[in-house]
This record gives sequence, C-alpha cells and structure tokens, in this order.
Amino acid sequence: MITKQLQQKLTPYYFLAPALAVLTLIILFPIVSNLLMSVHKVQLLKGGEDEFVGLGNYTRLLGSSTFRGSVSASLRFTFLSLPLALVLGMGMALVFNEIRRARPVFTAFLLVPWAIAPVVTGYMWRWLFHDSFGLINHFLMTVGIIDTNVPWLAQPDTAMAATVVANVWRFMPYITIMLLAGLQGIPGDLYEAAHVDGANIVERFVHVTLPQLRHVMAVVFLFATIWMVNDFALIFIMTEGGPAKATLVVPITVYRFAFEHLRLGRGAAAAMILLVFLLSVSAIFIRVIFADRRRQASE
Amino acid sequence: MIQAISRTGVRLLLTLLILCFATGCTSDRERRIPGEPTRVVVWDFGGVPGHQEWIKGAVERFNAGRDDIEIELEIRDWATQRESLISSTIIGAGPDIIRCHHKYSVEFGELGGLLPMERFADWPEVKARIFPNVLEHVKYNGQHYGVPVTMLPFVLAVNTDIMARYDLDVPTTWEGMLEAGRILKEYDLQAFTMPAGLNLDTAYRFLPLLYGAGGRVFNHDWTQAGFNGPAGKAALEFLVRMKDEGYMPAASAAYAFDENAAHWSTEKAAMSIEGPWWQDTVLGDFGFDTDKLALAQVPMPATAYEDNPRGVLLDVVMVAITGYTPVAEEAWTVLKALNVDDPVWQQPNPKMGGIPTQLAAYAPGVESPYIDLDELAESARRGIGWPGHPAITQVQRHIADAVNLAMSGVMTPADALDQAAVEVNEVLSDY
Repeated sequence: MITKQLQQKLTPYYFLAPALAVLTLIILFPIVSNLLMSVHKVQLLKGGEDEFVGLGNYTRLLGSSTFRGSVSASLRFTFLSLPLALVLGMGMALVFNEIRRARPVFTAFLLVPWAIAPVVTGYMWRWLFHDSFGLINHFLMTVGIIDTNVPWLAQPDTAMAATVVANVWRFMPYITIMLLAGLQGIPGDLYEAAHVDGANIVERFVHVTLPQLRHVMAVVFLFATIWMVNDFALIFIMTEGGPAKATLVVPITVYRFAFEHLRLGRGAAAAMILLVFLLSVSAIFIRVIFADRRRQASE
Repeated sequence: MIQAISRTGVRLLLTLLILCFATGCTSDRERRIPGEPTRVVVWDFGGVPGHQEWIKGAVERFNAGRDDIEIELEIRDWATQRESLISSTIIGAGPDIIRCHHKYSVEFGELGGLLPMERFADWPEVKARIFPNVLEHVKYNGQHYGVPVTMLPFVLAVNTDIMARYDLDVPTTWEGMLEAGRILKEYDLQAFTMPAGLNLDTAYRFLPLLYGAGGRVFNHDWTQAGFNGPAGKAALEFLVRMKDEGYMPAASAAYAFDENAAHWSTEKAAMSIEGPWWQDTVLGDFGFDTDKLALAQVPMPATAYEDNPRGVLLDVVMVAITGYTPVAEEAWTVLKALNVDDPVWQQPNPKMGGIPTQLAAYAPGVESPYIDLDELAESARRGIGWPGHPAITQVQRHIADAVNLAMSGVMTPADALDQAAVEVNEVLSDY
C-alpha cells in the first residue's frame, strides 16, 4: 500500500518519466551501445560472436599516427576557425547594431551562408579554390598578388587554410546574430554613464560591451567548438581529408573506420574519444558561464 | 549479455536505417498478393543518364507486356551501394535485384547477401553469351554471384588535336609519356592529368599503371600486400616525376573525377586514364568536340618490373539477385529480360556508360557510335580486375591514400606504399 506521503514524493518522477524515457532511448542508449561496441571487435556482417578486446581499440587508436594526425587536424581546424569567426562576427555585430534602417533586410542577407547546406557550401568553396578555374586565383592574379595559379587544395597547409576560410564564412552569420542579440540587450544607460565618465569608444567597448557580452560569447564559443569539432560535410566535400591527410579530421576518420573499413569497434572508440573531449570542453565552459552566478548566489 | 545488448542496439539502428532505405518489405506475403502480379523490386545503383533513360523504358515495356510480374524500379546513387548492401544484408530485407559493382560479388556472396547464379537451370546458356574473362570478376569459390552486364576497361583518352599540333605520336611507354610531357611543357600544356586526391578514383588510375608494370595488388596467395613491390614503386615514382617535372597539374593531388574531367576537357592536358564513360562525359558535361578524342592502350614501362602478365584494369558492373529474395525465380526472369535479352546489350552505346559484356556486341556487322570501340574491346579482353577479396574497398582506400601522400610530396613513393602495405596486411590478417 503506497502511503499518501510516498505518492506525493513520487509524483514529480511520474511527470519526468516520459522525458527520461525519450532521453534514454535517443541519447543514453546510443552512447552505451557505442561504448560497448568500442570495447569489442564487432563482426557485424560475418554473423560471428563479437570478440571482447577491452581497451584494445583505444590503445590501437592512440598508437595510430593517422588518428593522432586527425586529432591534430581537428584541433587546428577548430582553433584556427573559432577566433577568426568570433572577431569577424563581433565586428559585423557592432556594425549591424549601429544600423537603424532596414536592419531585417541586412540580417536576412547575413543569414544566407548559415542557411546554405554544408554540402553546397563545400562544393562552392571547392570550386572557388580550384587551381585553374577558381575565382580566388583569378582574382589574386588580376590584382597582381600572384603570378601563377596556387594549388590551394593540393598542398597540406593551404588546404587547411582553405577549409578554415570556408568554415569562417559559414559560421560568421550565426556568431553575428547571437552577438547582435546580446548587444541589443545591453542597457543604454550603461553607455551613457560611461560617456559621462569620459570613456572613449574603445574604453566603452572594453569596459561595457565585452563584460556584458561574456555570457553570450561563452555560449557561442561552446556551441561553435562543438559544431566545428564535429564538422564532417564541409571538409569531406572540399578535400575528403586530403591532401596527405592534412584535413583528415576526427569525424572523417570515424566515418572511414566505421563505414569504409567496417571496423565498427575502432570507429566507436574514436567517437567515444571525441565525445569525452567535447564533454570536457563543455564542462569547462559551463563552469565559466555559471561561475559568477554561483558567486552572486552565495553572496 | 552486454554483448547481446550491444548487437541488438546496432541491429535496431540498422533496422531503422533499412526502413528508410527500403521501398517495400521483402516478405513473400507482400511480394505475392493473390490476384495481383508478383512484385520484383530492382535497385539500380548509378548509371549515366542514358542508362537511366533506357532502364525506365525497359521496365515500362516489361510491365506493359506481363500480367504475372510487375517490376518496381528504384534508381539509386552509385556512391551509396555499399551502405545499402550492408544494411540490407544484415537485416535480410531489401530489393530482389541489384545493379552494382562486381567487387561486391565476393564481399556479399560470401555473406549470403547474393544468390549464386548456378541455382538457375539456364545459367549455362546465359554464361555462354558473355566474355569468359569477365565472368571471373563475379566468381567466388566456384560460383557466380551476378551477371556481368557492362565492362569498363581503363584506356588512355587522348586529345588528338593537341598531339597533332605538336607532331606527337600517342605514347605507348612511360618513357614516351615523359618525352611528350617535356615537349608539351614548352607550349604551356600538360601531357597528362589524373585524379590523385584522397578518393577512390585515385586508386583506379594507379592500378592500370601497376598492372602495366607487371605488379599486383596482393602476393600470390593474397596474404600480403603486393602493390608496394618494384612495379608499384616504379609506377608511383613515374607519377610523382610527371608531376614534379610539370607534365601533370600541380593540383592533381586535390583532384577528384570532376576536376580532372574539367581540366582535360578544357584542353589543358592531352591525356588521361579513363574508360568508356569518357566520350559521353566530356561531350555531355563539357561540350568537348569528340572528333578530337581518341582512345589508346594505357602506356606501360619499356620493361616490366615484375613477372606477372601485364595488363590493364578492367572494371565490371553486374546485376545480381539478393540472397534473401522470396521471389528468386521471378527475379531471374526479370534479370534475363532486362539485362540479357534486351537488344541494348548487343549493340555498344556510349550513352550506356560502358561497353556490353556479350560477345554478340562485337560480332562483325554490329555498328556502334563508340569512338575506338576496338581499343576498348581489346583492353577488356586482356583486362585484369581488382582482386575479388571481401575487403577490397578498404584496400582501395589505402592505395589511394598512398598515391595521394606521394603526389602531395609529403612522403616518398616507396615510403607511402610501404605504409599502406602495413595497413593492408593488417586488414588481410582478419581473413
């Protein structure tokens, strides 16, 4: 017999149960399934029993120069793209914040790169960077910066730079919109007070705008990091991870292990490493975002 | 227990995947509905526009002429065939007939995903109509897992206008290619172009050179990689030299099929290793004047580097019946009507993307708009396929990686091939 008191205690859990069931099915189950797969040599097609290999897939991955190279490529891709996209996005947001007329029209145009499918973006930039037909070489040649076509996507360093440029182009609108929303939420009297105190435009930006935007920037940084580290389509279409594996980022490596080589265990292990990395980054950012709120609460 | 849960999870996800893929259930009940024609589901992977146009028409004609069988056709992207085959084989549900690459005859024949043709009484009659060496491409453990329908021999596509303008003969050796490169470079042209990016097209262009030098993908008993032997290393060194000397595009290490086709079709390079699809591609996609196109044998080195018979790569497209079909006999009837008896297989047609496998297509008196059909047929006759190994797709990927690493200048040809061989040996040790 359930007492009334116990029933009252359980009531919130009844309401939570459907959401928990859905989360278990679509998040927890795949993660646990992936974790189990990562410690097995999976014989998916051959019909045999999967072989338990413990941390074998992980140790082989960490010992593999291809995987280490792909981790390095992912980090370079993300941490070259992020600061560029943030700086340019901030600049655009500041400009848009000053626009008083037809802002929705400009904002709609701004969103075009973000709205285009990554596959289309990839193809577009792949041909823009083409050595002999690409508009980029044509433009640089016309203005006299280069005198011979640059094989952008055929050299490891320039290929990485090209994918970063395409990625920044794609992400900048999102960052701009987020920061613009943050800018519009800053009370105008803060700027007026700073002005009365004699702060110039740079000082107002450093002492008013940036502190007021820090939460928005942290969220943008977090989301952008997750999306960029996980990016597959843009790089796959532009370079397929080449040349010489210079842009072979972790998601493409996972795809190759799991779906081209059918080494599902190793692919799952690579995906788990990626997940742990992203969870760690997220935890750090969430701590930063909520640190001062916790401080305020404790005061 | 945990392992069982994991496997169940994977299967559950793949079930959902196949439900997205599949157009209909393959149960006998849904294929045979009393009072209605038996449904036969065909997945047609890939196909150039001409092929797609033909198969749609052929299916319409078949359905109009029969009231006992109805074909349900689905045209699918060539690039998705392996994923589709994997998921449908695991689930044991999907189409009854597939048109796909011959290499899957081994991978999925071994797994029971395809039906051996030997189970059909009139298979010997069908077999007798096809090039014998091509039948080997769909054979595994003494059984044939598909009907080869289209041959794709790799040949040298030559821009005859460029060659004539500079008084050059079509080279037959690597040494001749280097010499043509030297001369054309003086006129700001390249002798050769090929996709050498991190994609499978790269492996497909390297292999004709490997076979031409007497090399092979594996050693004689397929326990070790063989492409890193003297022939493979010489072939890759030849390619790197062509690029370093400026006889190939500097950006070839980023090229896939499209970039290479654009480069050749805009007359920036004189030669490329291609196949029967080239005529239709350069005309249809780039408006290239095909009067300037000639096909020739892929050049070989003056002397072989290994003792194997020298040849050229031959790819084959087959049509197969799936191992889980509940309507095998009806599927065989459909397969024969569409892919054996239809007159399109007795007359080579460039719009079909490849040349037919039937001997009748090359009989005296058969007319064809194919340019240099005799060169294509000759290459097909002495063509060597990719080895019929279940893991061949992985092997192709490692070879492509090695070629790309060397062509990017990051590793020497020998080191790149040796590194790929280590990876391939690990793959082979699983079998």
